[in-house]
Amino acid sequence: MRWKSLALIGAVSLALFLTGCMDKFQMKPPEALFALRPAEGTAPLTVTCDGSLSFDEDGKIVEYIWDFGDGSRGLGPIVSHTYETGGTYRVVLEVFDDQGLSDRRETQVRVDFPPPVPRFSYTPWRPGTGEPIRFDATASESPNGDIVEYRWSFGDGEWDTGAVVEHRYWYGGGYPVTLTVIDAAGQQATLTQVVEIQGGPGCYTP
Amino acid sequence: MVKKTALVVLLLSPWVLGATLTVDSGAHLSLVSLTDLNEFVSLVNQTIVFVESQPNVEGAVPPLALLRNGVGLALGEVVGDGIAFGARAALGSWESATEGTWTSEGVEYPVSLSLRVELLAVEGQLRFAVVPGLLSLGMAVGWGMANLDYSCSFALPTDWAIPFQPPPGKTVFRAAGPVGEVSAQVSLPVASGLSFGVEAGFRLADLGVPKAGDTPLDLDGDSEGEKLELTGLWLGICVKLAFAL
Repeated sequence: MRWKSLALIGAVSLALFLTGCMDKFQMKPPEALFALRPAEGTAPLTVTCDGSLSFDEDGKIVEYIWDFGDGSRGLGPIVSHTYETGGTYRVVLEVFDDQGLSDRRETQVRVDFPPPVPRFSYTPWRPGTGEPIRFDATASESPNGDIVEYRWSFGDGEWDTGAVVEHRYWYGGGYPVTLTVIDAAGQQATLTQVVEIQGGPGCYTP
Repeated sequence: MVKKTALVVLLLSPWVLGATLTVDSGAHLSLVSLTDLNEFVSLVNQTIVFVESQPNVEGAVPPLALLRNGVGLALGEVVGDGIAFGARAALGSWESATEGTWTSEGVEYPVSLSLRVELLAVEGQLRFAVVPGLLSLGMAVGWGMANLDYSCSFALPTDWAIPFQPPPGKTVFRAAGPVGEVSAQVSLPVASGLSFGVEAGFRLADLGVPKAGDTPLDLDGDSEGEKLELTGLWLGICVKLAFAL
């Protein structure tokens, strides 16, 4: 009885000890950790990725693999990458240790689309009252693709849309003409020029 | 109910009468694994090192100590000679904390982070006197309840974005589960019925992922909960009082 009890306690002790220690015999994976700078900005955006914060408690990290989320990848603890177009990108770092174990961590980089560049000219150069003026914004451009909308405000309460529009002023004076362009990415920008109208019955007051 | 109690008393009385009631209490040093929480601690420490390596950051925040060593108390009683049965309650506590302030471009960033784990285990125990009055072995099984008190304020004074940041706030996470323990006790009698001793044991207490309400503990933000593994060795001293029934 005495020795049976002793054997029972011994067996239970051994089982508990081995169960509790099981994870001690297992190799630990590394921990992926990194820092980015900047994590947001306007394209083209060059981001520095520092994965040297990653660590491994029972070995060393031998490989750093970056996925920048735009179809390109990088290798090494510290890398730079340039995002050419706007969007939200998922950056993933995967690290491997010398035992072949791995860990990954991810974050997002927000790249804003750059604004379009509005440009317009008008003819004739010194228009008179009642004279048709042709406004041309086809020189406007956008790094994000096509410009999908042109909005004109002529400064006399009138407005129009289109890349090339025509307008007449019935009074002399200076009119602030504002062009707003919107590109395929939804980005917009405005440009204002003052158009001097010669002659006429008097200065137009809106 | 009264009949059942009377029956139990009747059945146990031949064994209890004339037996010895031993009450013991002890203080322990507990070594636990807490693997998941210690991974979080390492991530915090790496972040601290990175922040302090930045040229525009001044001040210091000491690293967190790993949650390994804790202290505990135990109170138990057994009835019997040679082979004794009884109950046992054990308390354990492990904690780690850091505090400091970083300054960057004239702006202060106070940092405060603390983790405190407390365990209460209530167990039934069996003790076997290998050398009566001197050396005994025991095993116990029961139920363990643990709390993790988490408190954090951690602002990063850097334009680097780090996809890991200790979640801010104060929360108590709770977990419970079965626990098991084996121990050995060496006693030295100092007076009639009184002895002092040393004891060592091994506790198996993997209590799973604690929760605060329905929210599981996920301090490193990897969507995999952190388990409270309070498995490990303990060493301590004890005082035993023996009474003849």
